[in-house]
Amino acid sequence: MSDVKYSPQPYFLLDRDFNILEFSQIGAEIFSIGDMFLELVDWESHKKATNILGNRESRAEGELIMKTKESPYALFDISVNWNEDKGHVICIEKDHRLAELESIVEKHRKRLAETNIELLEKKELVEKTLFEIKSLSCPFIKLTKSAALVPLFGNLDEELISQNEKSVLDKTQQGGYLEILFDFNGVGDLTNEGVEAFVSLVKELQLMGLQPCIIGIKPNHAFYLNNSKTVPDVPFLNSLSKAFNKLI
Amino acid sequence: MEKAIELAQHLLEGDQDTSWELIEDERKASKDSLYIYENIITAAMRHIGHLWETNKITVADEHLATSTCDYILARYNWQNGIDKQISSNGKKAMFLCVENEQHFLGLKMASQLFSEYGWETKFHGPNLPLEYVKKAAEEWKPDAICLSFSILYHAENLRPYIKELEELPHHPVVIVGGRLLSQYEFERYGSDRTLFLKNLEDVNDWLDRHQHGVKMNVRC
Repeated sequence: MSDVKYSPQPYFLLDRDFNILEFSQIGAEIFSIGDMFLELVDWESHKKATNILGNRESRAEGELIMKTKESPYALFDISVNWNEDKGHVICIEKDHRLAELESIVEKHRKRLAETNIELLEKKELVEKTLFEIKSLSCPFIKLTKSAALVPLFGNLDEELISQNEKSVLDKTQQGGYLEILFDFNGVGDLTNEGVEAFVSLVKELQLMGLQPCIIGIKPNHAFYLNNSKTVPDVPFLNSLSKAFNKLI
Repeated sequence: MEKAIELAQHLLEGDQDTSWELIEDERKASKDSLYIYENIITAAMRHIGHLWETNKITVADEHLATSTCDYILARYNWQNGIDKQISSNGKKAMFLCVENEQHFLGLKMASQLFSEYGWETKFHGPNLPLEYVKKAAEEWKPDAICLSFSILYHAENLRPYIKELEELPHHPVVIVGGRLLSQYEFERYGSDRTLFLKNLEDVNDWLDRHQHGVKMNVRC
């Protein structure tokens, strides 16, 4: 017996018919080794084992269910490399990471068993409705040939802008407007991400050659806008009527 | 089979929403539960097994698919309960996999078929040791106890399970199922009272016959 005996993993040297010629000590500790390699493989994995081992042209690897001294149904990763009619096979038992995955799946199963699907569906419906509400919270209203009003409703967060940004840009371009009035009178709270997204929208409009204008900023809005990395360089008006007077 | 392969793909991706949409489309096309369970879901999971056999996926992928499939089964059962006004037949059945057996999806589908026939069901899932089953059955007194196994060497567990459960004071009927039943005979592990059902179609047929029996008894 050669040095393969001292391989730190279960190692087998096979002939063309998958007879075991040599094996490592660790292999003998884990498996009850007979003459044939396939005797170590669960019967339902025989076909797969034959396919993996049968690829004599190149190296091959895959998972097999194997019979160990501990368990008749243990999952192993096997790798084979053929050289001059001799197959060098290493079998490595799937480690604790798979056990961890199994325990997570089991947790999911138990949680699902306790989940009230009705509540889950209601939650999904609420999320869908919220999406629709956000899409309706940024209407685009034509005021004159060159000016449009975009009143914002609800909280100014990232979703409000990301859901409506494309529509505002498209309508602005199609209508040939010069001024876009963003009305903050209906805005409740602001988030930093929402303000950043809004400022980015304003800048995009400016790049398109338009003049955005912001109306109805309240003290709490001013606080956020002032803290924004880049305060938009646009006119701020405190009421819609002032904006109308300016336009007319 | 095309739909089953499509579902298998979604399950392997862990895509609960698209998987559910596929099942929902079948449901809306008036396909019944037996068809959806056998021809879509079981076929998809068999295809996933085939992908493992041919070294295309790993056991970890299979776990994700199983978890996703578990979700769509739960959702399907819930949706079914809303759509069909199922009236109780007053019977109770409990479901479990024998010790160490982890494959529970087939059993879950069987339990959902029982629910559709008006049975009150308790699904105990995979790997339930006999002592727990006995305790649960003694307390809940089910009319039927359904056992499942998918790995051949777990068949050895059947004998004590069947014997001890059939001997319970209220004499439940013990029903055994699992994919291997269509390939091998396992009758020797049971008694002349034990039922061995090869697939979900057998389960459905038995429920159908049982239902008529219950109705006839009521008429008498």
